[in-house]
Amino acid sequence: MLTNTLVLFLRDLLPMFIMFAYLKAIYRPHFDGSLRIWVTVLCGCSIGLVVLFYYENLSDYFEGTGIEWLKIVLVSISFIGFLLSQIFSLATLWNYFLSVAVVCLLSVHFSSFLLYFAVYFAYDIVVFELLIGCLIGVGICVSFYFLYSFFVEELWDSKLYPVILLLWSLFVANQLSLMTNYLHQIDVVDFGTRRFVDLSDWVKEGSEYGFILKALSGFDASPSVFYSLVVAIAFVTMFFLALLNRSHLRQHKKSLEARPMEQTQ
Amino acid sequence: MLRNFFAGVFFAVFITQAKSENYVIELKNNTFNPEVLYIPAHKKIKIKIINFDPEPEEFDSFDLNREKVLFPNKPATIYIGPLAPGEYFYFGEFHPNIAKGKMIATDTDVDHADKMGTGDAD
Repeated sequence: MLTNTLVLFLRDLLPMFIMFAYLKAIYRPHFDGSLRIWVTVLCGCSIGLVVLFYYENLSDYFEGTGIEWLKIVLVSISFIGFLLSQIFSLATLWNYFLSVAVVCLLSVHFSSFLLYFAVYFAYDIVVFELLIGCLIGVGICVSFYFLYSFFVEELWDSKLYPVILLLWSLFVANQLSLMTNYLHQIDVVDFGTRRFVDLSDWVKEGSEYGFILKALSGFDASPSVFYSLVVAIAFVTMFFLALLNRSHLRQHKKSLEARPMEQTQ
Repeated sequence: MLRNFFAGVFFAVFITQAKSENYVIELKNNTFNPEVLYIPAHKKIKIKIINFDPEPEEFDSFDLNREKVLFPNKPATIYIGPLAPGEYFYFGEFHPNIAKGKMIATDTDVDHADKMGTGDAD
């Protein structure tokens, strides 16, 4: 029970903590303890709760594939949001795109995470174990967030922007890749179902390393050809746009940081 | 003409619902039945999973890259494959210690798999 609870934390919540570590470093003026981040988290969690509440009803739609479709749509919107947030010509809108992207991704992960607890909190016997598991799980996620946040910010401050943008693009691309397995699972896409590569002898997805790698980069030990193709295209697109946008972001950040100084003068 | 061609290619490649064989897995007392399911390799398989337990379960497999929430007394359908010959493990996310099983993709024909008493091809 305890192990299982921790696994759920690593699978569903850790990627979200990692996402916020990236956002904090890359979009520091906007996603660093501001009201925006709390509103975004609240919206994501609320939608996740609503999805959980209607989970069974939603799953009945489209011949039992409602949940898969919902997650495909949310993950796609999220990816589009992340992409649009890299287009600086949409200057007044980019932070809204980013917020929408975060809300969608958060609701996907949070609804999956809550389902487990909705099942187990019905049994009084295991509530204590669940609470202990939650405490440890939150501890692991928060500790990982602070460590990773420190690591990412140090790299960012050391002007190693391409490294961070590469890792961030890989993370975003792999979040989109969630849809590929769903599309195969409901038989909408019949292309590229065969395994592209099998790394399960090196790192097992169910191991501790597997979970951490999956949370960091969406690691899949035996990805299908379609999965690999989607990840590759999404990664290249995101990384290219992020690099293009980098100089604009830096200028924007500088102007924001300079603004309070001007006001004090 | 060209549009019809591309539409044809699109449907052939992406939307073709190729004929697939059907199998059934049941979940009772947090245990999958059959625990070992023999399936033909190199073919797409449709698996109906029925949860007879009073609470939801999540079918999960790292080997098959599938996850599906199973609601009580409701069948859930997933498609897998075509798979290379080998063993593919799956488990119930909420009871991973007891709800577990594996699929064995084999080159032998479907009739053989049915004789093993594990397939439910129709």
